[in-house]
Amino acid sequence: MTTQKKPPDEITIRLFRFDPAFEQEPRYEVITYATEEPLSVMVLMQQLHALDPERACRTSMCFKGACGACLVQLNGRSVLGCSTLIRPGEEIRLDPHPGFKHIRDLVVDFSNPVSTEGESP
Amino acid sequence: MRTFGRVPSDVLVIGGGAAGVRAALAASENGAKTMLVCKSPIARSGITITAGGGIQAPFHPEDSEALFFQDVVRYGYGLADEPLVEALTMAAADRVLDLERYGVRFRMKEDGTRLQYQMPGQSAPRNVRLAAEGVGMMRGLHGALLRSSVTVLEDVATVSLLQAEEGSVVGASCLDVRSGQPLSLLAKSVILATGGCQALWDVTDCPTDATGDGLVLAYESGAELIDLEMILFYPSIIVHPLSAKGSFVHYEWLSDWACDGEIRDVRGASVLPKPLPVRDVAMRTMWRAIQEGRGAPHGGLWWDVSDSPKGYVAVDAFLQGQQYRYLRDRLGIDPSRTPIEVAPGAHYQLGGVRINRRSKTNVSGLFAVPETAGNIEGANRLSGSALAATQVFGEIAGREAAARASRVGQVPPSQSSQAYTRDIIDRRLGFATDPREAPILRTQLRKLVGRCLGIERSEMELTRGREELSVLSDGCDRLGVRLRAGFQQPLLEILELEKMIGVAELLFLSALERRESRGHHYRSDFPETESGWRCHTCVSSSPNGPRIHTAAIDQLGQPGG
Ligand SMILES: Cc1cc2nc3c(=O)[nH]c(=O)nc-3n(C[C@H](O)[C@H](O)[C@H](O)COP(=O)(O)OP(=O)(O)OC[C@H]3O[C@@H](n4cnc5c(N)ncnc54)[C@H](O)[C@@H]3O)c2cc1C
Ligand code: FES
Repeated sequence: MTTQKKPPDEITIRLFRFDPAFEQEPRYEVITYATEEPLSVMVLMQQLHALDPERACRTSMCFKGACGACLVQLNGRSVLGCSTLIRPGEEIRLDPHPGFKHIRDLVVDFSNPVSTEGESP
Repeated sequence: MRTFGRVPSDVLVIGGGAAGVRAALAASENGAKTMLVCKSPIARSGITITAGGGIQAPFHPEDSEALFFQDVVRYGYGLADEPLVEALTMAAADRVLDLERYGVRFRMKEDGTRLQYQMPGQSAPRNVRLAAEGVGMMRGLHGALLRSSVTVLEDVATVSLLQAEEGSVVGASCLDVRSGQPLSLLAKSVILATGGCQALWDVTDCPTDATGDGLVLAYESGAELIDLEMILFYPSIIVHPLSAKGSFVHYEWLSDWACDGEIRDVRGASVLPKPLPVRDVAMRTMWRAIQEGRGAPHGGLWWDVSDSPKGYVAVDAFLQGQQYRYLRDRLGIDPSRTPIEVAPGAHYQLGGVRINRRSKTNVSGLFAVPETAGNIEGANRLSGSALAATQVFGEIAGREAAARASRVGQVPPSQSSQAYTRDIIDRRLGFATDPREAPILRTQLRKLVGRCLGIERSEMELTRGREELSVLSDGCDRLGVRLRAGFQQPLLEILELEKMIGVAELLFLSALERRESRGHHYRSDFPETESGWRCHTCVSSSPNGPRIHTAAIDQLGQPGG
């Protein structure tokens, strides 16, 4: 993980984009998001989705870090997006959670768990 | 691509929160071939997972069904339909026992009895406490659902109901979000369990999928909607910082017996009296303080337990619920030490689809269950009745829907109904507008609803709001997407926006109609409660557009009994 210090008023996101029904292979979209306050990964995903609804992600949340709707990979580590704060100045990478069948961009099928054995970020 | 729906079901449940899952379980336990569709993942969406975990059930030795009944009727300010309250209060305890059977755990006291809290307005300690709150409730129910014979389809959103020539509901037309394909699901009985419409407000503690779809689905099929103006505003929803926005802290926990804290204005003066008033009084008092310019930087007030006479250790020990640990451990906001900026916001849809005590609507084949349904509580509700209602009416609806399915044959949808439902999706396809427009319109809608259908309403604001709404509606009508394979979230969100605008229109009409103040509906131009208005507002569709009228409250022969 490379975290570089930047003027602390934006977060840089490398966002996993892939629609398997439509595209040949995944790519990363690089986005800078202006913010002066720390944001949870979930709020960040919601904001990126609102700015461009073609960036698919789950938006419904439990507001208490308990349901797992926000499961995602941050810099190669599985996290609860609603429970992980990103500070202005950070550079992050967001990937879909590898524990479930991938649907599109950051969206996975929670009813369809897949084995993550041997998988490393 | 997923293939399903070729074979009709006996019972189709739309929505996978506590009410829908309970209904599906009851339908299948009663022998019906049951399907449940949900537009988001079950147990990871919907309002139920945000719930704080109290369920009213009269287990306590000092309590009874009769007291429970009296409390619900009294604090519904006369608008509850009493046969429904009776059904709720008689069956709540049994349904809690069912939850235990499904694997849901409750908090116990050391003597082995259930822990019960007495919340404002309750005559005896009545709220049993879910061990893992709303998420724990959904996990238990979801587990039971997966063990049952119910066919479950996630990421499938119902966009319209299918109707037979003679008007009965015979299925639902849906969008399979994962493939972008339309889907027709036939069933003999259909149960609406889509939750509330609170995502229409800019300040709310409900998730993004609470878009009120069921209200529009029911309305378009000819069902009556009741008391839609009654939206319960919870006093203390977090408005800042952004990452905590939408979380809530219990205003109830400011009570002396709990954390003994205060709601404070920007200068530190306390805003609420003790003992704490019930919700509608509390939130209006807070709202007025904000209007008087006593608000904090983000338009809220301070929920403050930091200098409680109980001391930090006691307060901290009390604030161990999931949302408090979340704030403290994940977002770095210690609620025991740091005042939190809160404001009243939309929390619960009191009104909704009119049902009878068998959970049936006035359209044959169509049932509705809790938050989508109306007239169970009235103009206000006490803490813990909503989750109880999901289980009581979920069970009733599932059982009744299964019984109906065993009596009637499958009737095909009419040509016109099929054409109508097909058009809802088709008219959005083949041309793409800027995908950023839908979220912008959604934000504008939420601001508009927050302003005009908020805590204080007036004819002037409501009329102006309706005019502004028609502009947003025109904007929404123009939106389209180029059909492509894959997860069709943009199309889903356009269809949701269309539903939200439809709901807002009906809300405006209902709020204009009720020319009095009662419970959570406050009209600054009609500030008094009028005995002549102890009746429902009803809205239903007619060839000339929405028809608004009033209807008598359904009372039992022996009120209070
Ligand atoms: C913060 C908070 C705390 C609360 N705490 C309590 C409490 O402690 N005690 C209490 O009694 N009550 C509480 N409530 C109220 C209670 O949680 C809700 O009333 C109840 O959970 C609603 O359940 P439901 O099944 O009707 O709706 P939901 O749980 O919202 O489920 C509806 C489901 O339907 C799906 N859906 C919607 N539209 C469609 C469509 N068109 N097609 C397919 N699927 C669709 C949604 O995605 C969702 O999954 C609380 C509410 C909030 C907001
Ligand atoms: S949104 Fe529920 S755990 Fe993150």
